[in-house]
Amino acid sequence: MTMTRKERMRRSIQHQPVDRIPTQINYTAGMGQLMADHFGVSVADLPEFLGNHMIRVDLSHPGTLSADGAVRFDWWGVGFDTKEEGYFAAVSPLKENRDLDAYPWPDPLAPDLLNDAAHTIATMGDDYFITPNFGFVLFERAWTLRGFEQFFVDMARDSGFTEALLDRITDIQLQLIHRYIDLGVDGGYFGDDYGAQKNLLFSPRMWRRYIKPRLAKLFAPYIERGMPILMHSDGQIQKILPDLVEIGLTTLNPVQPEVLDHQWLHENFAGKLAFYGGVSTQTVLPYGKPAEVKAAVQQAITTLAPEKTGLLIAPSHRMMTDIPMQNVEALLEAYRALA
Amino acid sequence: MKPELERLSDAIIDGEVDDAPSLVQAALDAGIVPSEILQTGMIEAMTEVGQLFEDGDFFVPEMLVAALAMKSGLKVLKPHLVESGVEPVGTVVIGTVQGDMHDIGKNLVTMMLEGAGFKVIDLGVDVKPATFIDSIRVNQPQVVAMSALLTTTMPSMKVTIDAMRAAGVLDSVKVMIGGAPVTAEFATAIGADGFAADASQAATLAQTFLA
Repeated sequence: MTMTRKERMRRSIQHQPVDRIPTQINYTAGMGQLMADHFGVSVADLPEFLGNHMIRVDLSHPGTLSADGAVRFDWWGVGFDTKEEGYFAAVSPLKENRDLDAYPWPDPLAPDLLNDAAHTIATMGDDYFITPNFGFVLFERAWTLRGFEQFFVDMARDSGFTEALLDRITDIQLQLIHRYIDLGVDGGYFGDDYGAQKNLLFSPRMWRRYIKPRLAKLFAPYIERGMPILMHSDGQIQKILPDLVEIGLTTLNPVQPEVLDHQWLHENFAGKLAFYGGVSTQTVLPYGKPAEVKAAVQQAITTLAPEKTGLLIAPSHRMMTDIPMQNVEALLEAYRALA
Repeated sequence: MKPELERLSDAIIDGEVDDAPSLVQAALDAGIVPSEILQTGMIEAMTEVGQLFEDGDFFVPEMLVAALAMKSGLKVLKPHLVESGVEPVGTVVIGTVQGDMHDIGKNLVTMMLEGAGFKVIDLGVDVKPATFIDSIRVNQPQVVAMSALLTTTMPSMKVTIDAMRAAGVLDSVKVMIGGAPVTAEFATAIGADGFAADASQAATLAQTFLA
């Protein structure tokens, strides 16, 4: 029995039997170009070539460049440095003036906002599992708008402002979510980093007060329709994982092996959570030998998915240009051996 | 502990940014010498903040407001420290390495170093090796601290250390590095003197370099 990518993905993250473990590789624009050149395929054909199962669709908003080209402003008005391969918020518009009523908030009901998403769903929705891309959903959206230090001080000293800012963001995100669901996405995808390499960035108490109730609001429309919810959150988030499951999380990304122990994850959350990721972009992919890359894929599957389901195997983060092509080849060989 | 210093110490630990300056003034008015206010009322408070962070009782917001409270108190204390000839415990030159724009971790380390009584020369982000070298020559620090968040910019740390060696300034300083993907093994491999996993450990490590 051969499954479509969509079917395989949907079944795997719902812990149902699959013909093989679904696979995914995400990458930065720079790395996409290197891989396209190396493998002789177009950038547009890379997802198919790499064996991807999931497509995340974004708002139809190209961003506006600063006059010198150094900063690209996103839909919310946050400016990101264009020289960087990672994400670096260079301009936080609420840093100096935190008047929430005066801020020109984006309009989630703007008519052409979901045109690209609609096109992707129409052309690829039969084969791929499609989610909207709600990266920087709440906490990260708040701190990139306000500035990291400012927002942390707000959280510690001004809960009224903190909650008001998070409420504004939640309202806008919620309207977008309803539009995406009407369009026909297959599930929710959220990204919000709560952890650093060693601990949560802020206390579970603060997370439960500020983030949890609002995140639950954003999960609800999917849950009401029986759809899965995938979420990316970096770093040490063990202390709030049970809370995330409680409000309806079904699939956790990136399960970075240096940070979240795979054995521990499986022991504590098997059957309750599916996993997405597992192969480290911090160690084995940039620095390992090809054989070690293959072993890391095997190890992640053995530990996270001994039931042969409940996993979308993938590099833990977007692959960057520091990963040698021979390791990309090894990753693909390991993927193909799953078939 | 003298009651004035205890109140100041509590205010710093609790991140009472608005209260710290008046509590420093109250300690001065009570005739406590500036060096004692700094050491007992402030540096030791920040050491406790670091410990609370290590123990998982404090997180970044609590550490941040404590550092800001110390900073607001120091504004009042500084002229008195200068007047009575109190020197910083040491000097650190810090920066995020070339190619990397991330400064959150570096700024937290800076705050904790200042909290430990260091004078910190912050070179900012995307710092070229030559800029580190110039600053070492000018400021004569005991410690150089480098930060990187991305695996793609970690190699700049080695490039910077190699350039410092070639320029003949490496032997005069201790080099410590940090950032999410950085490990103790990597520090050893590129010839750094130490690695710190977080801002609190960075302050502790810098202190051991002075010993």
